Amino acid sequence: MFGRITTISLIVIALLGAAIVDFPAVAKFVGLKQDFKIREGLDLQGGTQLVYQTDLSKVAAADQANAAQGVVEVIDRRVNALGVTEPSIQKTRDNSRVIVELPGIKNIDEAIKLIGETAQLEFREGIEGKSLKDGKFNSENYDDWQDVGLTGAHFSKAEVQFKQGQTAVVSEPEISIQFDAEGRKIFADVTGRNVNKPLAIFLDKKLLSAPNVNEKIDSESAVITGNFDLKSAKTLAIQLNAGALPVPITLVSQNNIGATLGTEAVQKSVVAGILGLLLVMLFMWIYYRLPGFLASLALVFYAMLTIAIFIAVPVTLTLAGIAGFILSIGMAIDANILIFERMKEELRSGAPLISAIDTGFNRAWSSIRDSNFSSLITAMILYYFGSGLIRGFAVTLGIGILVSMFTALTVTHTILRGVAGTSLKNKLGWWAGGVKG
Amino acid sequence: MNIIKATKIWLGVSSVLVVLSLVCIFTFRYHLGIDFSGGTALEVEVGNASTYQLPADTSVSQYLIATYRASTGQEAVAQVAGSSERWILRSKSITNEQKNAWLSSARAGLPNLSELQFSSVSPTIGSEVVRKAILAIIVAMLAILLYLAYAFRKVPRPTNSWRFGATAVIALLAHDVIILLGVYALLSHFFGAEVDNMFITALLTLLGFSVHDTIVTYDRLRENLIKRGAVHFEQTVNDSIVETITRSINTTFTLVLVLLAMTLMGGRTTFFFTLSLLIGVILGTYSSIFIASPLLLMWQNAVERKKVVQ
Repeated sequence: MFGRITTISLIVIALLGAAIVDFPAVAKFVGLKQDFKIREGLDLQGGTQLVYQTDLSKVAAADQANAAQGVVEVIDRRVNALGVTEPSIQKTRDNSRVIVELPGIKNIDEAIKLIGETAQLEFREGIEGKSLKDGKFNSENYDDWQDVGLTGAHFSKAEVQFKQGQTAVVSEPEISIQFDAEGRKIFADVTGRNVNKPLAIFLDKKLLSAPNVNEKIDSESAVITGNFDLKSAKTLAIQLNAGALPVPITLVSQNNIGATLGTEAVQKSVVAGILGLLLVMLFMWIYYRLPGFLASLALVFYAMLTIAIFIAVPVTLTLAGIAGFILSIGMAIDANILIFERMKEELRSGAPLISAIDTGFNRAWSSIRDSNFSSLITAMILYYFGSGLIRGFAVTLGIGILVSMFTALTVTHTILRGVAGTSLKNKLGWWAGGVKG
Repeated sequence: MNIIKATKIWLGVSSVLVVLSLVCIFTFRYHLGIDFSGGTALEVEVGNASTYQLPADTSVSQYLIATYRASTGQEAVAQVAGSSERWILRSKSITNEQKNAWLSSARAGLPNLSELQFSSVSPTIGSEVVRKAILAIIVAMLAILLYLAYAFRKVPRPTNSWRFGATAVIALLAHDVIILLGVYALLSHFFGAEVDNMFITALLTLLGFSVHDTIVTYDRLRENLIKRGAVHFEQTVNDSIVETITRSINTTFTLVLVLLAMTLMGGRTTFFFTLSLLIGVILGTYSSIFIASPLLLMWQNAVERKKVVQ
């Protein structure tokens, strides 16, 4: 493919790069301060995954992507207030779902409450004969009140404060909101025309309170009371600051994973992976002799390079992802087996070593390409149709297949040619059984 | 070695296996994972038996189920998970709050009760997952068929590349997939293996794997056809199988080594996943050697008989 010098330099660079990324000690030695770490999925480090269904029934098809993106942004702002490290909030391609991942979170109930509510705060004025009777409060029903065009979009800030002038030890929390310029104007107009009448405040179509307007209020802030305890007042303030959800959402799936299970699973997978790798190396060594031994060196290189790519991309590693990677070790050696079998045939038919090596690689290429391609096709389909868990598997398997083609075709080939240039070339029995040197 | 000569035996054995598998598929009901059926799976640790303060004559499982019913209103099935200190409870979907209420009430009898994993999925998601899974399998088969037909487009007469693709995919679908589904029905019935996202992943991965060995054989067949020409097609097919049988078996063997390590050592979560892959790769290699190429030959013979009749 390339000149030999280029290939060798490429391999050396890849090997060094992989060593730096994989082993912290090496990174430190070359003077890099950055800590390269593999990104662990929820099932490995513990945490909660929440899947929400977005209700897009009232949204025009063209705006659905925006609405779902809006949901993601609002949830992102709300979750930030929780102080979770590295949360992940994503919408699905068809905009029907939003998946929230909260690593290491403890108080799940609070998170669910905070994320799930629409938090649409509205001021509504009374309609005589419906919500009002002789100018007095008459109905808690949302539809009996009339929209004034003043919503959460007109708030610039919401804060929890405590009712002033109370002598009681426990004072009641309330929420102070600041209007933007337009909000202030609307609020002044509305209060102006509703003097001595109640003005209703609804949260998600439920009445919070309906205080009486004493006079026209031309101020940039207002206070909302409504039987809050401190917790619910704080939650609402976070929600108001983060903005209302553009569409209602419902929780359809929840998965809390304790960190214990993840740690155990990782340990077991690593043991299984190393054992599998050793068994494959042993088999290759016994069955294919010298080339098999060299191929198992290339296999170690393969494992290092693949892990480095996982860290660099970065790929979020799940339990299924680890399985995909270990599986790809078994597949990575496939190409070598195809090549070595072909090489043996050539050697037995009396071809010289170097040309047997080259023919082995050239002739085996079409089988290697076609079989790996069919696996890549299924990996892509898995990625396209799959959810998070399956995608993790598809990605690691796919990367594994690609890297294995590279290592089999360039690394093993280069090592073999290199060794074939030494005095070992005369020991043909080391290269293949049944061939006399 | 004459593999083609014994075609009837291979096809006979496989037909029996396929029929048995179909019987298993339709007699035994698969346990569906909660990602397919919806519902709740709650894994808990109950601590050491010496700490229990259970009411008289009540076993741990009875206690778990009774308190679960009282707190959540749902009937649960309780299963030991790995060790006697770990249990999995399954029921219809409950909320996080209901789960917490149950945990605190059940601690009266099991003071060290703690939650390890809690999954709750609404039933609406399930039906969609099943639909996607079936769609994915069909798309994968078509994609492999098209790719093989394309990859072997230069195959010389008397055969053609569509037959290469079609026989490879038939060996996959009619043989590997059905037998694996049959074996899994047994595993599900007797050992509680669940049909879930992981199983579908295993199935799709196998679709890619199983054609590997078929491709290796067909690749050699193509090479031999170009070298020798169309005469003695049967002999050429047999030679191609024999020449590639070692590498087919060895590539599978390395995978089997890895999968065996994962099945035995990899832990409970991925056990049935790796086990189905293990069964699948062995099936895939068997069908590549003993089913795909003989089918190709039978097809060829049928085409030629038709020509003679005309």
